[in-house]
Amino acid sequence: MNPWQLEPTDQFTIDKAWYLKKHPRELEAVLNNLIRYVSQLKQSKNAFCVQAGYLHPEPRGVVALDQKGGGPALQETRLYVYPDEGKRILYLITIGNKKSQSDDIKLTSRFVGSLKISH
Amino acid sequence: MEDTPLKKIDAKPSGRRYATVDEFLKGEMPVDIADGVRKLADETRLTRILAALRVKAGFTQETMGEKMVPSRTQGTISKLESGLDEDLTLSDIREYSRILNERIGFAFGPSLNHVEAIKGHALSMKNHMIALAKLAHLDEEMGKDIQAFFGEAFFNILTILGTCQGQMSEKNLSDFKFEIVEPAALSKPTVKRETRETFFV
Repeated sequence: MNPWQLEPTDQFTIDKAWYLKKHPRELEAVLNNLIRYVSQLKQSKNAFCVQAGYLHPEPRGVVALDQKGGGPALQETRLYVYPDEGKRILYLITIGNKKSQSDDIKLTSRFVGSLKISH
Repeated sequence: MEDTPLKKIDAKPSGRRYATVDEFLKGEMPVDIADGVRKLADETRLTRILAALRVKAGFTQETMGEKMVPSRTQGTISKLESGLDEDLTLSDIREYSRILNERIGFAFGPSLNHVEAIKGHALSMKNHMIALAKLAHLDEEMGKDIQAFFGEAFFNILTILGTCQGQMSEKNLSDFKFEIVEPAALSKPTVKRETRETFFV
């Protein structure tokens, strides 16, 4: 089985720049959970079976990774990813907080929809 | 000041792909952030391994909690796997090892240098081989297998030495060189896998 590859979106790159400036510790925390998630993903027979306290399943197979484990007093932050089982690509879609959560989920659903059309 | 990310666009794949998270950090993050993430990852290395081993075994956090002695809730397992290594207990690690039938080892202190590591492995090999040699007295058939295994091990060790010497530059080489000529009798593994596993239990 091919190993998983990571691919950021252009939106992720924009969000990353904002978080680097405003909330670098939150960015570090979600990226640490990305390391955890990928290590579990590699061992899992099915991406959708991966279960952990920092993971939140969202519609259309999207998974939100939060900032838990990154230290005290961090703002609620979510890194939205989509594991494409067929291509073995983990898309890093966007990063957001509680205020942007609703828009983020809509954005991630549209992203997965566009991937499925282009397949 | 607005504390929320800027208005978002429709996300599109960037086309930049990375084989590992570390490559992704190098390619996409400033050095200080990548270092911060690595520091956090170092503090959670063991909990990350435990979670990955559980997933590999196909167990949910709930099942894992039920199998532990004393039993734990799914929430406790979730907290344990999402926490820092320093919050783990030896009992937690022992239970993961027992339930998942995995050997879990860890060490404190500075890493061994290459020479120290090789000496440590050599001593360990010597001890195992002495144990095998003692086993060889118990059963004639087993003795033959062990003798064949020693031949195979001898050949493999010389091959490794020869390969490594071949990777050195000419000016570092002394007049003495290893040259491995594969004997026909040793070209295939001579010990059956199941037999070898029995030896090393």
